[in-house]
Amino acid sequence: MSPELASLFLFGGFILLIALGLPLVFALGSVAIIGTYFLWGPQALAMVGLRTFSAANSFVLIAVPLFIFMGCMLERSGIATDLYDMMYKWMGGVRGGLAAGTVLICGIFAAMVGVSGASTVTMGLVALPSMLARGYDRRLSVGCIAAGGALGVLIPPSVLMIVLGLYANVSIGALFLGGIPAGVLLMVLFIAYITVAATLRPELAPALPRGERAAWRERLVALKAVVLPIALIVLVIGSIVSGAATPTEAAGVGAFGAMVCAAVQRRLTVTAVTESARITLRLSCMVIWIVFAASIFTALYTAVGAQAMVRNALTALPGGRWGVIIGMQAIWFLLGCLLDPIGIMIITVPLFFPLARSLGFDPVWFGVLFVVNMEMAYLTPPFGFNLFYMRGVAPPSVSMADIYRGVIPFVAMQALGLALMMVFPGIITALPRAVL
Amino acid sequence: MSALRGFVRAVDWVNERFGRLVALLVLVLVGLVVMEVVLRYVFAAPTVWGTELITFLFAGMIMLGGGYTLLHRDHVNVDILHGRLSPRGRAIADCLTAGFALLYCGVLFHYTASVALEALATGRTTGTDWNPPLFPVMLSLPVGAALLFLQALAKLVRDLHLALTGRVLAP
Repeated sequence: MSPELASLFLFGGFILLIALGLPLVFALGSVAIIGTYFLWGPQALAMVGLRTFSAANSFVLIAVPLFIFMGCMLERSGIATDLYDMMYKWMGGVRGGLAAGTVLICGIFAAMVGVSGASTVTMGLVALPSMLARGYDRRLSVGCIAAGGALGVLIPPSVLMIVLGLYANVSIGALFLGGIPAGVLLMVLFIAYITVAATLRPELAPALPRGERAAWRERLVALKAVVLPIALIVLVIGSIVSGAATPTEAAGVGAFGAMVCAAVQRRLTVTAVTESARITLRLSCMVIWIVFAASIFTALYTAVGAQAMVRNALTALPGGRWGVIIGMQAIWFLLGCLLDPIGIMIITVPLFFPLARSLGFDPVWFGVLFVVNMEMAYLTPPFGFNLFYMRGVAPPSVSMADIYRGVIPFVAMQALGLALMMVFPGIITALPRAVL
Repeated sequence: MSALRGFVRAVDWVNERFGRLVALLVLVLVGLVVMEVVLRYVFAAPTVWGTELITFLFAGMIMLGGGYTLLHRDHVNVDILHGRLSPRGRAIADCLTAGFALLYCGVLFHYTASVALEALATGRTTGTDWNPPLFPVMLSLPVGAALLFLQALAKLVRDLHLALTGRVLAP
């Protein structure tokens, strides 16, 4: 079979199956099995067992359930409410303050959890009703939470970056370090947009009336509740990026620390722990079973010559090596409308990373660009996770159209951020290079 | 019909119980990782078995949790078209693709079982300082694949029932 035909069969079959609603793990796994059977014969199927076993035996992936568990426990320690309460007291008196503050809280939350759903749902439950009750515009409120929530995979710890580091053979610590300035830049852009919008049209995001603003004493007292979780974040992220501990070790200590935080808040109940453990198992299985199936799929399509095909197609683009990078961003963006980030990563990383490396681009920079691009994937319809999460927690007065239109300016800010990081690679690479 | 209902309920029950039990392994993982960190960085005396045991427990946890994850519909899918269908339309679409899910689980079961049985028969070990036998962790692969296969089969039975009769079997 020619590479074109084999690739067409692999991708075509995969896309058809997922369009019919088959879970990614089954679509990847079954297409890979059928392809292997026809290309190499039944004896080659033994690799299904061997590859799954070696993927299951990866020490780095252990960080995935540990970070998810850490996030679940911190969530249940009531930290979101405490953080929002603190932000409300400090920023409620400013125009657009609650929306800008929500972005900040999402950033802090993103440093506690490694997935995007956790902060979107939690902030949707805590911040959204509060903003709506204060007369904030529905679209602005929904948009800032959905966009802020997506920061979960960009600001370390990040489950997406752990799998990416493993898969693309890039240092996870370096990706984490590059994710910090990238996340901060997006937050700055979001807040800038909110501030401009609230200044031009004050009715979108009114300031709290003077009588309802918190006194300085209250503001200082509110800070107390957030000290412990923030210390934990600094410890966990700090130990990874400084190279003192592996992500798995840091995640284990972080998970233990999260339980201590919950205990201090008197929320370490049997229900909280077992519920967190179950959610952790389901989310980890979702991610890691895709990795299992993908390890078979990737072996096959590397062998059929899909890499050379994609390489030829991309290098034919105008603009030289930058044309290639821009073409890849466009492909990621389009796939982001249709697929979830882990699926996109599994399909494109074996094709794009070797190409970017051979063109002389820094793999850490390229990896962080991928994650920034995926920030948009969480918000772009028809398939954007955070849109569904928002729908799940938003009150009925918020329509799906409000959600779709609410995220548009934030997607524009993400695209602007992506462009800035391409034009000025130092935004991403300076920190990893200085530290590592 | 009552036999089918009994089958799907039994599969649900097994995966629910198994999943809840396996989920608790994350607490064991946290404990072991923290123990290893303290021994390594405070006492500079890590165990010879810690890292391997942690890896084995993790592999077992993820393998055995696959069916439980499917039971709770948490294996992510794309629902651009799917989400717009009626429950019955969705069941029909799922019947069309169910064979692919069963194929993956079945092949995974077959080939991991043969490797695991071989490890059991030959008593293969990891060849490290601790040198434990490989078959316990290897057995978790076919068992996990079988649990996922059964849950996918139970889902197919449910979807077929809904597609053919328009009624939900064993909610």
